[in-house]
Amino acid sequence: MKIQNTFFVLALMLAQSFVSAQDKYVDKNGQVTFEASEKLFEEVKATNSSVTAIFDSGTLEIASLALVKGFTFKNSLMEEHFNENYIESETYPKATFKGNLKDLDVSSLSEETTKVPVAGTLELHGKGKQVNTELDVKRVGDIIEMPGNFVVAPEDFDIEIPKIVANKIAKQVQVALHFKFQKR
Amino acid sequence: MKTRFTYIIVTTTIIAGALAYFGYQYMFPEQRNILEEEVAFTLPPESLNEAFQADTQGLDYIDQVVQTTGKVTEFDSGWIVLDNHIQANLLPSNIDAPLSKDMEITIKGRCVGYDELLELVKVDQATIILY
Repeated sequence: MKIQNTFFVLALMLAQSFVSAQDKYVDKNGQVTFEASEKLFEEVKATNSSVTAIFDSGTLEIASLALVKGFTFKNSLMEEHFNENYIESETYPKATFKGNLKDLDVSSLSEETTKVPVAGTLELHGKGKQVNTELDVKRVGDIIEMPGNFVVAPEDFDIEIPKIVANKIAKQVQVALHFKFQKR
Repeated sequence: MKTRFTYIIVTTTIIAGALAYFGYQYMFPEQRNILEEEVAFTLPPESLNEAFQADTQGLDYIDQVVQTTGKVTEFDSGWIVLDNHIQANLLPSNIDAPLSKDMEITIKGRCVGYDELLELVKVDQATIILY
């Protein structure tokens, strides 16, 4: 009886690990772009094409990590100022998002876009901020695509913009993301 | 008188041109060319990964040009994983490089930092320099 029980527990553990492995989707090279450009001034825009995102289709949890040094600007002087003066990437090297998608049935996804609400916390520069937005989720072959966007403000993350450049940097920063998840 | 006027005009134009040139160079410096830069650190993928677990948190390596040799454990269009310790994103010129699993290669690129979700060190602007 005891052996039977042990066997049952082992089988259950194995099944559980199999299910959880099946539910995991990963994107190792997600894209995140932010733009804080003002009209008539030089473009303030940077892209990181190596953002990691993990999505659990069972729990609908989503976690993402962007290394701040991975954001590249057209103007390398702007990139230097961004890293040294604003975002302080040596002290705060990561930007993370942890959240949950709501009301999504992964098995029913198709090539047609489904709008899925997502809520979570964006952490940046040592500060966290609640973000609520919608993702345009669709499935193309084996890949689940999740493009979306949201708006944040530098002051939400205690990022000070010096007065001398304040009129060249938008108060509202547009963030666009695009993840292409593959089953792990 | 005419000669003096011409002299002033020419001198002013040269000075203004030089100021504009150096001003532009300062405002819009050239992007880094990692392939051309000298290698700061040469070490195996595992050692680079371990450096980020140490007390220094790999700070010495961030934004530096690194060169490393390892086995391809995973790859896709534009990126490779070496020894399950490093993920290198290749420069567009290297995207079509012929790759296969377990192939030993040497890459040169910029160390971006440590990705806790994947437990990999991320390297970008990488070039395969030796098959």
